[in-house]
Amino acid sequence: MSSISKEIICLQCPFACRVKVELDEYNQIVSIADNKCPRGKTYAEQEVVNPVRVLTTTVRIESNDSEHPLLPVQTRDAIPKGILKDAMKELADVVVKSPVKYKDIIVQDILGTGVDVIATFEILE
Amino acid sequence: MSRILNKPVDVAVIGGGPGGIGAAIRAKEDGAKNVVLLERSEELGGMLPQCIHNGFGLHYFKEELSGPAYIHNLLKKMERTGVDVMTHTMAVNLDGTRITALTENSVVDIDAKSVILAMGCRERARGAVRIPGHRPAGVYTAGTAQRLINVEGYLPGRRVVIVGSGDIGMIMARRLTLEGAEVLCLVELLPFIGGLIRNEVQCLRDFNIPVFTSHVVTNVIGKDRVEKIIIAEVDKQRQLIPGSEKEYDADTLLLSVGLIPENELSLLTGVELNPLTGGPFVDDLWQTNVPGLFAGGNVVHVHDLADYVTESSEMAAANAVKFISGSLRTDRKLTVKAGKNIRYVVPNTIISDQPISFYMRVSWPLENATVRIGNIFEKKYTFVRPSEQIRIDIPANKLKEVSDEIVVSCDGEEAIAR
Amino acid sequence: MQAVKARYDVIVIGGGVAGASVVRELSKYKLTAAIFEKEAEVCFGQTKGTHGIIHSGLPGISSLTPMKNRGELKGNLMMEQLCKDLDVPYEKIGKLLVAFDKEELEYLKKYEFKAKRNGVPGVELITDTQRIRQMEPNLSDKVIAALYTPNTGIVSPWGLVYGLIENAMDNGAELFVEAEVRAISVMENGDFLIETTNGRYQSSYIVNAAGLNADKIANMIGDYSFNMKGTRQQRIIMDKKVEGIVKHLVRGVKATGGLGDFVCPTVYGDVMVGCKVENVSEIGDTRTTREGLEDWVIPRYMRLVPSLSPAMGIRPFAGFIPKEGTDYYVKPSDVNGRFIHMVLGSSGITASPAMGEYVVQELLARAGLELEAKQDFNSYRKDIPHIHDLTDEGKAELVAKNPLYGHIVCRCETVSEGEMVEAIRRGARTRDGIKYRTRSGMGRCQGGFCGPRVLKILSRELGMPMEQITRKGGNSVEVPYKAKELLKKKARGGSW
Repeated sequence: MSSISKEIICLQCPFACRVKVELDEYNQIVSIADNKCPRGKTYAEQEVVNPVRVLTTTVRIESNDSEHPLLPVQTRDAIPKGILKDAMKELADVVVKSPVKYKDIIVQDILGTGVDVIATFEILE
Repeated sequence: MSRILNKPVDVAVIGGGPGGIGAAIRAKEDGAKNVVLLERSEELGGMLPQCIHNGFGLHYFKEELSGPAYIHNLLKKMERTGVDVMTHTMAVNLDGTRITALTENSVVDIDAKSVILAMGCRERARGAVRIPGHRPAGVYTAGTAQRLINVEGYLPGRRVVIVGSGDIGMIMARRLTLEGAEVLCLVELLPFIGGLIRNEVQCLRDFNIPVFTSHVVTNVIGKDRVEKIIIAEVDKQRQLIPGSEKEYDADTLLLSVGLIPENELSLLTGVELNPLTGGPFVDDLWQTNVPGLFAGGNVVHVHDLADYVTESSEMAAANAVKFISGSLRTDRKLTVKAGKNIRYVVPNTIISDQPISFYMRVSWPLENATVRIGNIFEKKYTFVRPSEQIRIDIPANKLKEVSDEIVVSCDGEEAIAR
Repeated sequence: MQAVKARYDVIVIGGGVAGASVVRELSKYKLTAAIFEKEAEVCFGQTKGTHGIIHSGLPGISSLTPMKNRGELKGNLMMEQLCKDLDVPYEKIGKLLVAFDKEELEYLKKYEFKAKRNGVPGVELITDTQRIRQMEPNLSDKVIAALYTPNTGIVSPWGLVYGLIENAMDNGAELFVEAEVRAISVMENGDFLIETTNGRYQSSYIVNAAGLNADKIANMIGDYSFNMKGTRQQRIIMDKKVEGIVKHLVRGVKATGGLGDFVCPTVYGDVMVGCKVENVSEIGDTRTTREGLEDWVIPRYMRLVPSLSPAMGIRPFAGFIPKEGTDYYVKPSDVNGRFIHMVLGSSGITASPAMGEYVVQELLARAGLELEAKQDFNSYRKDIPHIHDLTDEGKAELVAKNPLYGHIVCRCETVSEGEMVEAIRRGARTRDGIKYRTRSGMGRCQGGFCGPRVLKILSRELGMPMEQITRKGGNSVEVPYKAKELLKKKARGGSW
């Protein structure tokens, strides 16, 4: 049976172990090695099976403040790493209108992930 | 003649970023009557409004925030404190603790009893690293590109080569990729990545951006606009390895090649600068060699976290208030020296009997390291890196025995061969 | 047949220091004159890459350059007053040509002889090393002698061009930018018909001050008498922090061509070091090179001032000094006597006031141009007020008149929005146009901080979208894409 080897840098502590994960042809984990502690194993599993990231970006905003044509936003929680670019394309067409308060929901349930995109700044004018 | 505001002020803070705002709030909280905060640009926040990524506030607000959110919270804290905020106000001269500032209405003389310098730092530009070639449009420092993309709403280009693996460079690699540009590669002079590992993973590996350590840019080609970037490998002596050149069809070169504390004002009034940090020599009260002139944040040395910038500026402010009321106890003078494997340490002298925070950076990545503060304190670390600032808090009583000099040093195994 | 847009008595081709000097001189007389510049703005050719040193007339070892020598001497004497009249930064600083050994001392003695013979004022050979140390405390202590010429000065090269052209325009001359001359023919009445990218024009006389492109322009009337050559000169601007490290232009003797090894203050307070002078295969090549900077400029300037650290460098750059041959090529064309060549070369800026006068009062006059002096010629021009240079009272006054002068945009050089708006009013249309007129972007952060803000100001004042603002005209767009534009393209089907 063929297998794939992946290296995951664990971010849980300053050791930053380079954990070796072996996967079979069905993308199931065969073995995990080179982690100095159990947290590394859990982290590596997550990273291989379903890596997630918080997306921080901007959307356009129409307001009386011409100095700020963009509103900083982020996904409230981490979403699958593989759809970050799709999320960016989706958000490229979004234009909000002021006033926007801190943590207002800008886009609900982005790409069906169940995660909202919220404002990380307020533009009230 | 329209010079106004010859009013005496207790504490004047120069710079309205995460340091200055924190200092102004703390000065008011500690009882200073009139506190003025000078900011040369249109809005407060310094660099943070353009830092839309997370990583701010974990220490200070116990919450992971974006840069704009961190500032939002600080500004909320400053509301109702009665700090006199002056935006569009640039300090153009400093004489002891007397400031001359330019506003849109007039020239202003501020006679302050104490001043906190919180001007932050600036990015090194192409000229400082002498990358040869043409000098076209399309060469930007990472911070400038960040401002363009996140605040003004423009991309500097679509095919980008990045120089420097500091955090700003890596974060911009991710930002550019997400906004639709292609980052062709990132080159780093040293044999190791300069910023946080978290950024190496989430900004470079996540997007499969090729990284070349021990590489430099040897040529920029393009008369009007960048057309090609040539990179090459260097050996341990930083000499070019012939035949190692790679050529990229790029339209943009992004530089993340270092930050320098901004001390022109400090120099105008005879503040002595530390050549190892680029910032003023400071004592444990965050005071410079000019009485009443305190400094906090990146103007002293480049911090990793905005949280620490705010904290160090708050400490400076607390001491500035004590200075005004004459209640600063300054009994002695210990010199602090950077020893083995330590690139720099602040503060540089200890004059009070208050508890002390030492901030330092090592000069090379080390494993199984031990940091020693003279022979009164030591701490072990599994890993230390130049990109990760070390902070060690020492209670006041520990320093009682030391009489005139403390050497801060670090022993450990080299994680990467020099 | 395309109509002639306008007719002038004299058309000057080239908006660098040569053309600017001529057109300012022309504007003193009752005639019509225009200057045609092919770039987006004046001074975007070779003049902006020069060092701004006003030589005192100290000639090279070879005296095959009578026109240059004469022009340099005369121009030097005219420069101070001219800069006063035109409100251009200028300072007389003097020069020390230094020797490190006996062989170099012999060179100094030869120079001293020639200088005195040529009438260079105040030349003095100093062998008292203590006195040299007093004059320049940071000069290497290995220097054994110095030749001192007190009349050497420093000027702002672009400041001079702006001063000349603005004054000329104030006195009636016209300026066309992005007007590249493509073809020249001669009409029946002897006038020239000039095709440019800005339309067709007519004139009785032409002054060919087109720098690097002077041979191409000459070819257009069938004059193939010369080919342009030139040298590239690599230099480095050092941080203002080291202002005062030298007070004079300090130059080493053992240098071939051009200015050679030198350390020199600029009128703005920063310090310039240089210089690698070399022939290059591509005319006009202004690339800096690793060898040029690391192996030549740095070690050689450090020989003169060892304490000036290369870490103080903020901008390496290179200029191209055009020349036709050894001497200046300033004479009527053999093909057509009303077509005057004006190719200067090194020391061109120094000689420009004298050469401008010569071209107008002698060459054009001899060719038949009638020169009747204007009674109302205004010889004065005021520069954009620079908030950085004013006293506190001056600042307050200026800000009270116009609040934009209190809004500082470039923090390294303390440049206000008011100055930038005024620069645009005077012709700035690009990032570099603002840079050269106001200093914004010339400081230690090299425009990192003010850059985005300057683009916004240009966009607003010119009514142009940010994506079309350029650094220096042509294709040099600064921010080609609006945010989200690339993403939307990808959403519609492009790849990442």
